[in-house]
Amino acid sequence: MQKKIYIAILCLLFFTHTAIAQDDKLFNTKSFTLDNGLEVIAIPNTRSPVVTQMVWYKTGAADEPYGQSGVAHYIEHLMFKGSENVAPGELSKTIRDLGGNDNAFTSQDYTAYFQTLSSEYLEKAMRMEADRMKGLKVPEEEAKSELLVVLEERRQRLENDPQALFFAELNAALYPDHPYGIPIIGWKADVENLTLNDALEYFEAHYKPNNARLIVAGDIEPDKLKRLAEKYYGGISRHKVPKRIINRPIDPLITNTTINMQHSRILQPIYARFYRAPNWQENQKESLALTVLQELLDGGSSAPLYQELVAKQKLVASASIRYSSQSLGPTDISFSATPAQNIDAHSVKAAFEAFIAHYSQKDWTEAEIKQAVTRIQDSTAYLRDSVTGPAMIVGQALATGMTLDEIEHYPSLLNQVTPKDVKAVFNKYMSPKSLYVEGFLEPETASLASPEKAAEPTPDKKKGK
Amino acid sequence: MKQFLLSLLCCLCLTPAFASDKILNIQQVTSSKGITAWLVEDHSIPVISMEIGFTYGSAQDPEMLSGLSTLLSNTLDEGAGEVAAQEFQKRLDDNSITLKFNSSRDGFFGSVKTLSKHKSEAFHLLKLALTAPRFDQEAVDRMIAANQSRIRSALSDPEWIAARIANDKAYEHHPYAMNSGGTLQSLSKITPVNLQEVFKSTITRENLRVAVTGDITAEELTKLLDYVFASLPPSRPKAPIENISVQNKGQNFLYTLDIPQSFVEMRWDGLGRKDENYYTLLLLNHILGGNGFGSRLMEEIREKQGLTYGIYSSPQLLDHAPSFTISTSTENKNVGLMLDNIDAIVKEFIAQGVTNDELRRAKQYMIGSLPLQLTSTDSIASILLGMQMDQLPIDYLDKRDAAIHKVSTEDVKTLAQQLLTPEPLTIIVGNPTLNDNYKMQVVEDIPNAQ
Repeated sequence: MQKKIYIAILCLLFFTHTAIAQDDKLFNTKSFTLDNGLEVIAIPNTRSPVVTQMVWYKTGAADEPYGQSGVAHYIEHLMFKGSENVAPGELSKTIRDLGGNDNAFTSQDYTAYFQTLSSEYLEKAMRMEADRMKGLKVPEEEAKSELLVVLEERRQRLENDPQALFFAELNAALYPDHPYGIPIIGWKADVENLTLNDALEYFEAHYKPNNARLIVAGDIEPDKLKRLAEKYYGGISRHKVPKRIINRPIDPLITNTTINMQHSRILQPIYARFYRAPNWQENQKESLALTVLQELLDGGSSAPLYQELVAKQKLVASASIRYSSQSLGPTDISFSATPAQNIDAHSVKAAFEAFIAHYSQKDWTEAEIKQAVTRIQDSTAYLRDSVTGPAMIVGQALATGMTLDEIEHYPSLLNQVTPKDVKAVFNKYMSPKSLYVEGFLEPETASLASPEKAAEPTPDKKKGK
Repeated sequence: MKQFLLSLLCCLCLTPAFASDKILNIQQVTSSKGITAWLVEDHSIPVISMEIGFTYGSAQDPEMLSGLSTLLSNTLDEGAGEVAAQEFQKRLDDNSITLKFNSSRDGFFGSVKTLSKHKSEAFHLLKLALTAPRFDQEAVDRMIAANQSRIRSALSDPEWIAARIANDKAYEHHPYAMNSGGTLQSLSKITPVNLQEVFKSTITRENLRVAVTGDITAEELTKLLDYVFASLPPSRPKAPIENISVQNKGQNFLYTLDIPQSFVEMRWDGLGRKDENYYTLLLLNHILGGNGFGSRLMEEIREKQGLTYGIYSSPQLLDHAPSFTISTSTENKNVGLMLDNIDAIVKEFIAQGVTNDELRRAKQYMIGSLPLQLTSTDSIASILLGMQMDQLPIDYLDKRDAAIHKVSTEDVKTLAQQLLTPEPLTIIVGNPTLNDNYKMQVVEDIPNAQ
């Protein structure tokens, strides 16, 4: 007990700049920055003797040079193929031998590596994670066979899956003038031609401590983390990194686009529609209002979207509206649905248009807004019932432009949203006049049958190791 | 060494949930009306998770009505008592309560996760669902349509197709051959009357097992148990399910699909959780193809040869037909090479067994990974429920390390010889290039789907 008080006092001394009443905070994180620019965040949670270490690099597929799509994801694979003091494959095998697990993922905005294991072994994980931040030492033959693995991953996630191909086409149409239009895993021809040298050049340009964030969640005391972070990561030198183009302005859509995809292996059609929407950094007020709007329209099966289209009109078997503010670049609010049997996807389109025509005119009551906000706030109360979950959530939010303070107080930020805000963002971004990209994925009909094309992109925002 | 490892693990236990001499401080709680639950108290966050199970699963579904148990799981929360479907869902949504049901071949499961402040509402809704579900025709039709849509979507998924064929071939003429999710046709035949029947057979007192973790005391739980469960009816007789081993071993089945990458599944007989060699099987699995990087299959086939994005072995724990599978996928042109490789690795495993070092590291993994499964209230409750469903003793976790340590390299080799010597049942979905060594029987129609 005495030890705990002592530590608590120490924490106060170290982290006074984030001192806000503890009760109001979602995760009670502590943060600091090493001299070499590495940001460090502790998310203490001592319910079980387990930690998750994550390193988030502020680089992802959107930072790839033209013609080298997929290189960000390829380097993510090669990060497991050896560094100065860690042999190819040794990191994962060591973590496994200790009863832990590890993985990594690449998005457009960031690339992250993590290990979850018994807290007594945290230092071992740190030593290996820091070693690969210093530099890679990948044998040529390892790089060659890993490229084959990446191509198999591409077949599995994308080429084998007509639904994935469909959403990739929509994505390409939604972001024609931004790297987001390119699949994270890369165009096939680009990936096939990637070399170890391409990957190492990308690594050298972006993988620097001043371009990274270390997050440790679980059974860790912040002062101890500070000591360990300095010991293992403190000696890695900073380096200038290229300016990112990810959040440059893009041209507005100039027309609606419709993609019709027929596929011989599709039996269940899909109708989907995407509208452009602002991310967190562009417009926090609208972002919060869009989040509440999404909850109002599709917060469970008692919400209007399900009740109207599924339960009452019986036009679709399932439907969803999604909005994520968590993006450094352009983002979207989207609708997708699977038509009920013998219902034409075009009838679903008409029903969705009637739905938004109606609800975009609705004047929400204060009580309705409050109820939706409370639901989102309550759901955040579950987040601490996990070790790895908070590390993922905090990491992703920071990597897509939120500040730590905004994350900690996110539930109360939602209280600002008014009925007027919700109606305003609805009419600004998803009104009958808003421009969109839509798609119909349908079974192949005799008249439409054509040789299967090797369609491309990927809808996934993340690619695992 | 054994003692050392045991004490090491215990040193790590910090919170009330982790008592000093036990992996978890599990209390057995019995209500005044005789309902029993296993409880791990954890008041560090305001969350309660309850996991319940009923020992009555989809293997009991009549063949003409396959999917009945799954449909029960979809409709139990579609209104109960005076509360209609939308109102029921709204009360869950508005109070951020998760209430879910699902069914497997051997059991029917429910889970509740609630914030402490909404516990009365959460357990009231659970009670309503378990005692007075409505099965309104509208909701039943809507859930049938959702399941049919799910099946139509899955029909483009090679892994799902392979599972249908594998079950059909492995468990010919046995209830396990059916698709527990039903078929497009069988689902359309299900009526509210059928659901009432399967409800009465499934949700009974003798079938019930309960596990709870989180912000609730034993005293409070005893009252809650009576409130929610005391009025459940007694059990009805069940159809006996015969034990069955994997059928069609040594046979290869191909379903041709125009995709660039084929999916491969191989199936041998396995062991159940109560078998005395169960831990030997887990260690065998870890070394051969379990738990990711470092397994023999992953190292040779992904890491050395780059033939796949993933290859895994795993024990499948059906009550009456435990099996052991290897599954992977690879570009069509490499399927023959993949099969040759797996065959060589399995044959070498049988012939040479495992090294002392491999076994030592596998044991270290199994012991070291347990705390990782105990980091949330719902995962702890799930483990407690699983133990009860499998009729394991309450101190099972505390005896686990000793049981793991007892396994020898000889045990692993003997078990590998016993299970993996017969040629497996092999299913391939895709458009593979194969040489004449592999005689394939072509499957024309996906079984248990239409």
